Amino acid sequence: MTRALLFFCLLPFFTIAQPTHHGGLVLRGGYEYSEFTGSDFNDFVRNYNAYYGGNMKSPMDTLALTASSHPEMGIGVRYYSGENFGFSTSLILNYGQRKFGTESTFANDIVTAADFRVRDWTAQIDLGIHIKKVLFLHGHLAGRFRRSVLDLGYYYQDGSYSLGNEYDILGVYQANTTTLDVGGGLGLKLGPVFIPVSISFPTNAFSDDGLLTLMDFDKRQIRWNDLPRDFETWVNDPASLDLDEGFVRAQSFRTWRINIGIELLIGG
Amino acid sequence: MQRSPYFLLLGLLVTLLLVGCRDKQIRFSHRMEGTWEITREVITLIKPDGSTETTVDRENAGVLELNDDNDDKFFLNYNLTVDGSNYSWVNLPFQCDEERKRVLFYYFYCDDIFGCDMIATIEEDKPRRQQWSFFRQSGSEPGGTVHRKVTWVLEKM
Repeated sequence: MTRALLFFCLLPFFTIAQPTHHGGLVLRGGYEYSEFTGSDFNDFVRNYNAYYGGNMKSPMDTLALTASSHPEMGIGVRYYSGENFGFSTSLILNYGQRKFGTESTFANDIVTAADFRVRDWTAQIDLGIHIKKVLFLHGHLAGRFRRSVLDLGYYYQDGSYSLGNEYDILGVYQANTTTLDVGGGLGLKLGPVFIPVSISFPTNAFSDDGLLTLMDFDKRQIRWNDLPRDFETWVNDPASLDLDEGFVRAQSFRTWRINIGIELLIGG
Repeated sequence: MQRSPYFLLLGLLVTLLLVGCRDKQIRFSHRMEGTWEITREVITLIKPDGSTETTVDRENAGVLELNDDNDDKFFLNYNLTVDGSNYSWVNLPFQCDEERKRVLFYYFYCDDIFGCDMIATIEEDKPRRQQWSFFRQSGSEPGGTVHRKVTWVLEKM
């Protein structure tokens, strides 16, 4: 590991002596396939369905672990030196978002709607090599910020929609996750078009150790609701809920991911 | 490769992005500061069988005054008068939530810290017209709970 790191740190110096440098502004579009590393929200769904049992006309479906996969767009800079072999690096800023959800219907036709929106901001630095300015191989570090918002509301029998506090479980829940992702990938350059594919995994750097939850709160700190994993205990005896395991944790929305994109290289 | 123009453009784009992401709550607070007339109040009972009964539908139902006396960028103070109501709401905290989907009237139903706030769902959010609805349980009938829905249409004076 140390030798590989040393190699990548020294690589630019081998290429500086070479006379040719290339690069420019990058405009990027792509798709991210991702999977949640936790299933806390699905625990809430299962528990919610179990609690209401026979009072439900149709229970809530659990979410697929890939539910937050989404298209993305970005901008950045890419640089490489040498003709047949050389150093390559890039800095890309990406943004993507996705809406998804699930719902259940009570026997009295009130619908519980759980609507998610996740927004991802990623700053990724690639370091690697190129071969003949066509094949690019790299490792990367990425700073990743994800904001997840859940609207948990009721549709009443007349179609009215409520996120109010007439029932404690209703509300707008939020979780922010910041991760340092590591990974690697490769790319093909065909004229001004660059096609990168990479895989990334979240590390535990910047981890909250599970302390942060999907939470509905206000800035006066008067009221806050952590979305429970154990719905029945939350209803009947909330004081006895386990503080570590009893709530939907923000870190359960972290994902490992595969990104594929098309970049237009402007300038070289 | 000409480096400087591209890095300058990238820096400019990042700056514009950050400037454009002004907090929703602060923007809503600026929009709402002032005096609003409740131009229409509709109170509806939603029955378990899906039928509804409108018990109140009136115009010019009251006045909501929102002011920023405490210089808090997120909170306003609300003074509310509703015609025909025995309650008065004077100088109490008001805000919208972070996603600008709800408005929170603190100490609306009573004076305690817990269980006294009213949270309404924002149904329409325009610079000079708002529509909010809030719900309460209102008894039961065969088939389940009856819910009481109060809808306010507010227009800026």
